[in-house]
Amino acid sequence: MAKKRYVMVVDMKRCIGCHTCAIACKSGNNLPNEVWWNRVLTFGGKDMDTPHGKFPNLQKQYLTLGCQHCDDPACVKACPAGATYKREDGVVMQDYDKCLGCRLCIMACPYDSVRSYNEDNPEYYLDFTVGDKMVKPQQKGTVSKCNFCVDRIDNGLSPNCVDVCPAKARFFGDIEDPESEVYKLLNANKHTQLLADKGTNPSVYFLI
Amino acid sequence: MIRKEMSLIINSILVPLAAGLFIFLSVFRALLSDPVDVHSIRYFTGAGMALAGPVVLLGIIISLFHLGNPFRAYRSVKKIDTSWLSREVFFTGSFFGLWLLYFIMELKGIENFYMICLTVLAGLLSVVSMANIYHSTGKPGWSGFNTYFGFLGSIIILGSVASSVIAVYGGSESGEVRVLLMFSVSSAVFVLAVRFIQQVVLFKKLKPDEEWSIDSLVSGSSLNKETISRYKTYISSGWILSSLGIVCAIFFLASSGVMHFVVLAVSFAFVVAGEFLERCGFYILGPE
Amino acid sequence: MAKQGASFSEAFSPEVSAAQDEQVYSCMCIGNCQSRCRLFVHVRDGKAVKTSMAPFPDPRYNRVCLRGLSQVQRIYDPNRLKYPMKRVGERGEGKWERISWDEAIEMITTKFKGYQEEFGKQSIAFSTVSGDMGFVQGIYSIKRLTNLLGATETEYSLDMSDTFGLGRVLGNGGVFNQRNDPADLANAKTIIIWAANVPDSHPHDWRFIADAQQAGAKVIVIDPRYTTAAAKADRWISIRPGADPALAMSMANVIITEKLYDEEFMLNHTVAPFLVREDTKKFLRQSDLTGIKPESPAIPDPYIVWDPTSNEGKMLSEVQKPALEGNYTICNFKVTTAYTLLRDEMADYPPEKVAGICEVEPEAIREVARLYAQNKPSSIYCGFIQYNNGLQTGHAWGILASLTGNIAKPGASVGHCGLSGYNLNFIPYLFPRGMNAHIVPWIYLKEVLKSGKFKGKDHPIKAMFIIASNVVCNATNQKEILNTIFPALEFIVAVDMVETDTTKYADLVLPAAHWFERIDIAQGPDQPHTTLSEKALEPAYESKSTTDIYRLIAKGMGIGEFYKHSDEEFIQMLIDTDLARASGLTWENLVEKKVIQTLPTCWVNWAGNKFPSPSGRLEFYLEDPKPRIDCGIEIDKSREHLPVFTPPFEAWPGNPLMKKYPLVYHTVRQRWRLHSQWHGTPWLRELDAEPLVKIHPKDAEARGINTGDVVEVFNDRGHVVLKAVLSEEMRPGMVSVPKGWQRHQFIAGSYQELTQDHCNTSDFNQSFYDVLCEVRKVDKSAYEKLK
Repeated sequence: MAKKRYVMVVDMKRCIGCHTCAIACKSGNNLPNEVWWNRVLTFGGKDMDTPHGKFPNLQKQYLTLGCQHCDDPACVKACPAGATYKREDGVVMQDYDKCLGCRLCIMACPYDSVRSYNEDNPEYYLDFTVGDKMVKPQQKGTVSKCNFCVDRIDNGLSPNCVDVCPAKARFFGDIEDPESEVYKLLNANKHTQLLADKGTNPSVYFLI
Repeated sequence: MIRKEMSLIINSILVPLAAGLFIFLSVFRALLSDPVDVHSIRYFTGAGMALAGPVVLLGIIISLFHLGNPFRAYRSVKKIDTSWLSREVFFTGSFFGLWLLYFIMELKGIENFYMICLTVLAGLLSVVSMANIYHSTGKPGWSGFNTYFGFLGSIIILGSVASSVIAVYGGSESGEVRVLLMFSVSSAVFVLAVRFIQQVVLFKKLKPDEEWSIDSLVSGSSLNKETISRYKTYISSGWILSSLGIVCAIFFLASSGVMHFVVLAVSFAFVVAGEFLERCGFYILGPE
Repeated sequence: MAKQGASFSEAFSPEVSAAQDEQVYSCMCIGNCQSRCRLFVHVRDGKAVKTSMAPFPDPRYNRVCLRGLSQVQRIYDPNRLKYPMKRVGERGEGKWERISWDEAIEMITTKFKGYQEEFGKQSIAFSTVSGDMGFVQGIYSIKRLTNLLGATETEYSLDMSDTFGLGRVLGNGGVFNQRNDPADLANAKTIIIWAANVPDSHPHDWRFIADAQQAGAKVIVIDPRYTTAAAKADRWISIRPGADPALAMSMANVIITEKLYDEEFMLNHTVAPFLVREDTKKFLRQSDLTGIKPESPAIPDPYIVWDPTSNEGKMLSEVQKPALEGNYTICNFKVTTAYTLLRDEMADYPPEKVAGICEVEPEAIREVARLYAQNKPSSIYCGFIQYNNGLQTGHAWGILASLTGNIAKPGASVGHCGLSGYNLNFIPYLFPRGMNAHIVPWIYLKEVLKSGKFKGKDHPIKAMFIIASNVVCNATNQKEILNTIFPALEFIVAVDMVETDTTKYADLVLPAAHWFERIDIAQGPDQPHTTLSEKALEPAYESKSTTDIYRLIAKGMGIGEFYKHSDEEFIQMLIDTDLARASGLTWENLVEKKVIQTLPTCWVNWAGNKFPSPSGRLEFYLEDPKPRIDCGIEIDKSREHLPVFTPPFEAWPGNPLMKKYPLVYHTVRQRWRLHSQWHGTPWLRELDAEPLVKIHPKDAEARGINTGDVVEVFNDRGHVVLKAVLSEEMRPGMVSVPKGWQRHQFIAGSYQELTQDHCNTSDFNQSFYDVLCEVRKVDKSAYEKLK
């Protein structure tokens, strides 16, 4: 069987910056307070939702940023403990049990804030676990990040952030499968990767 | 960033200091041949080389505080094949381990020339690995040659002055010693001169990111005006203090015993402070 | 086991849920964003741990948003009202005494009965708005109570300016049923998004507009500020706030002048050929000519039109192609075609003249008008006009649709919302003993309380029961509510899930069950389904469902027999119609399938051009314009047969007030809240930590304000103190404050203190943006002492 490579596709033309995907990830993965694996960025002015330019010649777009699950990840090379590793199907994983909390992965990663570090005991607003029970609980002193919702995809479900998008701007699948939605989308549309010149070959594509 | 990484910063001063002490003093021992002062030479170089162990151990312990899970620290050597941090931990550990063996052999009076060589090598490789951790990230201000002159330079700057302190405090007065000390402190001048040139070039190169580009929006290497100016302040003040310390030390060494030992101690304090500030500046360029 | 398919389109698997010890319920998210999303509520160990998107039969309708996904934090909000509380101390002081439900109901019914005996049935008022849109537990169900009790019912006076304006043209007045299924937007070639920031306010509709764009449609956004909709548009027209009617009428002017109208549509489906009598301003009818009025409304009284071939007036049905234009005399009646009157009225709005009013280039007006008229089918996605002249805007939109035929067709849609409740059995459910409630518009309430009269008769009101409404936060002129309206009421009960600005000023507070803690049904309007909302959890603490609360009150008020039904029985009563059954909506089906599609995909409203007006046509000329609600107040009909541009009430240059308060003040909807719901949700507050006023850098610079400064936004009515953000998205000369934050979340004051409560006696609507203000930098510490 051909090797899988899971990728995510985000249509920047359609993304409206609504943060539904960010909240879906936060709630489904029971992320601690202040931890976000999926962030929504305003590509415009300095502050959220503000545009670039001078009235009325303005521009504004949105994009989401989480772990890019690079094909050649800088973090996997940097991790001294083997806590960060890449699965056969392309998902870059973070093993909390092995993580030392040295944060070299954060330093090595070309992307901003896609990894979160639990400096203290993770805190939550509610005193019971929310989200998918199968998600591994977070630990103090370790790094966490988007893992393409491996527990869900291994059970045939889509990651938390994909189907919920109100603008229908998010897609996930195996790019090695010519029948997959992501393959067809990338074939038919102009697309780009973030910081492609860093050479890590990210697995998140943006339709532009 | 600085406060969070303080234990790393301190570690990055202590390890080059330990390596520098050991390297310089073992070289001195090899070169110095005054038969009259043999006992004293052996004494002061031995004392200094003995200090290297506790200093690097202190550095290792302090660096554990940087970890979220210090009790898992043993796992940090698992990825020597790809990780510069694994390599650094390995070589730093080796440096300490080899130093221990040297020290035992020294105490027992066993010939330990090859052990000393291995220890020196481990110390150098440890600091080279440390530099490569940052160099390999490709971040602006980290991915250039200045990184090597920063970390490896500390070996020379700290090591030379520390060795002088040990020698003088140890009462070694021979002219040969003075010449060696002067020579080693002067090599620090060379390092500082190269650093100066490198920093001037780097200061010009470091520009705040384009205000409006997706790259700067998503990049972990995002630099804004404030960060760059803080970086420049730290690096400049660090360089000035280290230079002051080196100049002070040269004056002391050139004065042939006229100046009080305190001057040399003060110059050591200056270089420590200077290297510390230089390192703080370096870390400011890292992710928040 | 959900299959590992070529694409990961399965978001839910019963097996995976079971493996995680979850019981999954099918519920509805029923705030009034108009989406009515279907949610799976995942319950583990008796606690809701997650909400996820539940699908509709046609996946194009699948939707959810960040708020629906944050429901778990609302259910377990530490500020949940737990038990009935009676006020001790002054209103607003925050001192409460816990009482039992028995005591609370006793208090309510004793007082209500006492007031009704002494002051009349109308002396107790029930007030609801849109906080809960289920049919059994939500806002509609209050009518059963008010009509049985003969009580006063406040009408929310919201979103009813342009809606009523267009509604009169359609013929259904002030009803939220105007446009096609939003999915139909994907079929449009031209979409004008007018005064709406769809991505933020209706994210569930956006994908259809994006689909249309991808298929080559042109999207034009008309909005003073550069919203996300504007950022995605092919063309953004930054209109001067409040100038919308002039722009719409100028578009009509262009369509008329350049003869871009659809004559066939106008002649057959609008009142264009109808003849308007010069004397009465009404349409000429056969009874005018014969002198004999039909005995009953059932007997038709044909309209008369001009037959150009035989040069005479004839019955409409007898003329193949009536005259579109012209003045005629028939039997001594001087008449003019409605189209002629329209043409002459719109002649006052050529683009060159309107450009100054709207601050829009004449060429832009022409371009939009031409696109709308020619690049068909065209839809206008209407936002709710928040100025006093919104009525004219809606009327003008109706004119545009009438001229071009951009209505009642796939891809051609105009107006708000859509069919909702059309197939439900409302009469026995809401009016079991007939219509006996007294409808008093909220915006007119102050007048009624002051004078003690309504429609010429005495109408004392002594008590108010507020449910599914945070009126202190969300209605205009907050200080008037707190200082004039509330003090006139001796007894105020507020029902809510959490503590709000309104509950803080009540005399008695009752805890309401969360939406997932009771059973209900919901429909669209933005998706074509009827969906069951199961009871996933027991009501928290001592909270009760709306129906349980009403049952207790009804028993105490002596109408308990009308509340013997269970919630399921109420639902069954509601869906007991042939229309419902025809689409498969039965109780058994509902319980089994949870969701039934009760309208066709991409359904078209008014299909076949069947409009609910008296003539069955689009009445862009109103022969007898009436106010939206009968409060016994006459209106100036002369300005409402056809729209005449009048500036907004306050926010317009030329208003001397502008010297003192030069900035237009908008209070905008953001994705983070739905009105004031979700104001305390922690996950959302992490992303949106505090209210910020947006101001254009030019205006900010003139006032020495930078991003992050604490500022006071104020006018004569009140103030709000908060941090500022400079943004080029703002049109210079206006500021925007996000709505829905509670008073305690501001440094001082509230955004609602500044708004005005002028009562427009045609549409009885609140004009939230029709406000002027000034902004100045202040020292935050001055307000710290007040806390």
